[in-house]
Amino acid sequence: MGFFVIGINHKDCPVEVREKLHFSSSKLQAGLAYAQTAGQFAEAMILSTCNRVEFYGYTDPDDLPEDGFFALMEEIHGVNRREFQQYLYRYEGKEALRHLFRVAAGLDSLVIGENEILGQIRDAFQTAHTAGTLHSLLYRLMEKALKLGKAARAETLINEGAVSIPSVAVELAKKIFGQLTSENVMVLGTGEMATLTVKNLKSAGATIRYVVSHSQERAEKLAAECGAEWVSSGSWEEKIPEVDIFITATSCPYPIVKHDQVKQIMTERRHRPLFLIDIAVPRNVEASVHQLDDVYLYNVDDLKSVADRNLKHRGREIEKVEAMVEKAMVSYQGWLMQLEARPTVESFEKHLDKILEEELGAFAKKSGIPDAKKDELRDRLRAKLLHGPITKIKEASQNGGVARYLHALSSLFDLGPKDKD
Amino acid sequence: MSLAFVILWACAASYGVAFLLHIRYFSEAGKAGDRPGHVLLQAGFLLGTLYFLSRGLQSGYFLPIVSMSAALAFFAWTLAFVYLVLLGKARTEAFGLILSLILFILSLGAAMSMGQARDIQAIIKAHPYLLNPYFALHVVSAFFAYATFTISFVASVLYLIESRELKNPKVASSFFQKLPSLERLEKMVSRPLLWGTPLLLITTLSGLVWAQSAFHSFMLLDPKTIVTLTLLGLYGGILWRYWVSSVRGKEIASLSVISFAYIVIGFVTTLLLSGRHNFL
Repeated sequence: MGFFVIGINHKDCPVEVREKLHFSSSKLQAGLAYAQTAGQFAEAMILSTCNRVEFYGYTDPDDLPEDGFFALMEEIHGVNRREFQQYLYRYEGKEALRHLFRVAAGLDSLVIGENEILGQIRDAFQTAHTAGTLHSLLYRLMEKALKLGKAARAETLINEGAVSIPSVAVELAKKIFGQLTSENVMVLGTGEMATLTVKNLKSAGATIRYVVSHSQERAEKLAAECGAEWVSSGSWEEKIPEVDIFITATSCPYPIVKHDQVKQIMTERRHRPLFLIDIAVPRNVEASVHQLDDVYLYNVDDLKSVADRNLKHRGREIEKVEAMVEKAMVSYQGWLMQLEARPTVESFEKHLDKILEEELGAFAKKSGIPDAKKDELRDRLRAKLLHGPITKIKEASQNGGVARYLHALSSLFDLGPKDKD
Repeated sequence: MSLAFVILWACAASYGVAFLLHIRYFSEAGKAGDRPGHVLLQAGFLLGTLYFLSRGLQSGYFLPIVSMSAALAFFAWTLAFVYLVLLGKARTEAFGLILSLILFILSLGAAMSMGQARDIQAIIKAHPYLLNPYFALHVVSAFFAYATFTISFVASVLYLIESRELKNPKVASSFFQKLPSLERLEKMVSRPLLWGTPLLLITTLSGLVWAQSAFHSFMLLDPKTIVTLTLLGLYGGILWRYWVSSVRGKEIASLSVISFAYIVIGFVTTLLLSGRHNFL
């Protein structure tokens, strides 16, 4: 059977089902412990994120250990297979390898090329390693997947450019102010998008100074989360000169930030750049504000179009990353083949050693050459005889066709039924 | 073929390859980084330094203004010095791209016109006042002042491009993606001005003292002196706006571009005029 993966992901499985099957940290430990004792899996690793739940394994029997997987899910989550089996995908062997490598490279993600998945695979790998469910085959495979994921992001543009509205806002802020360190932010409104943008800016290093909202409770909650100050809806205007980044996201049906007002503010700011993010619909900032020097105003369409453009750019890199995936698969399969070829090669080496020892021993006895000379001759003969076949087997491991060589070797020298087809 | 000639061509080649490597970095081909290009810029600078050392040792004098070749080579060297040594930490890929092209053109021009250089010892013999230390200070400070203004000009152009592209990020080019932040560019606009303006003042004062001792006249009506004094006023005004009135952004970048345009016009105009103040 070999390597396999069973799982669900964002493509087909609705979030209501995904959340039922999500492994928290404690459930993950329990799941791996179950897999270890179940006896159906030689090796196991569970990758659980908000977009996917996948069980990677290595097993000896011929059939996919689906029952073992369902039993594990029922044991850990108390969820019957009927609730999710229509969303399941199952890959074996080569296809399973390809799936894992595509996941690591970010090609299977909701947002192509996203970086988070690589960290999530690393965490899953470490957890499984600590739990003792990884051995040589999956360990090597996960190492390879992580290496590929890193290379795909370093050598191609698959993760370049922000692709969500909050991250585009952060990227543009960095284009204006550089690394965000002391830039002050004020947010007008506490909707979901505004909150996300504020949180993104904060984690990028900006200082959230003021949160303005009609709803004092929500504003105070967000202000407390970001270490900001709540400002009432009536007094936000006097705070604008103090801020560098101003987010507006209210439900007001007309513009509340006016051209003349910003013009005046820019004189007071002595034209230090001002970044305005208007994610409200209808817009909260007069469009003509954009014409003012050193004022950078973006509405939700502007941010979305930048995100779409970046996503399109990432799409152009898919082909390059797919090629890297194929290369990694060949390399891993080559390693596997070499591993499988080892017993036959070892038998052949032993067979050769035996013949050399017998024949050279008899020759040394007859001709009287010293043991050191005999050993030197044996080593040289051994190296010369083995060099050709072993090189060919190694090459065939990388390029395919190794089974043919192993079979021939085994038949010709009567090495016994140790190798696999 | 002299050693200095070979070094100068190697210097031009180094800047040329640095430019090509920077283009490669900007061409979206991958994430190669600008490090190789920057290393070649540094190599070009070292070769430029070697060139002046070999020229100085060969002739016994160091006067970069008596031939077009020496003037171009020295200007390239001061430009590289300001960028790589004084602004080393503020280096950016976009800046390296433009500067490597300027340095390549200057050093190529210097190498190509090297054969037309006049005999420096004969010039010194005919005009001994060129060895006056005030004259050396005048020349060196002028070259460094103009190098810093060139750097500020390049940064200003990049600032204005980025500011324009930021206004419409939907259609922003890939060049924009690799530009540094506006704030960083603003530092590259203002910092050289802070060095260049006092240097231009030193240039003016030392030039006046030297002219008085060499020709018993301050040469105040000389076209170059008029251009320099006007420039001093212009750059002083920009510094005033930036450091005293704290005006930032597009205005400072635009003023820096306008002032640099005046330098170029002034230089070309005075180059066409002959007189005691024209050495090329």
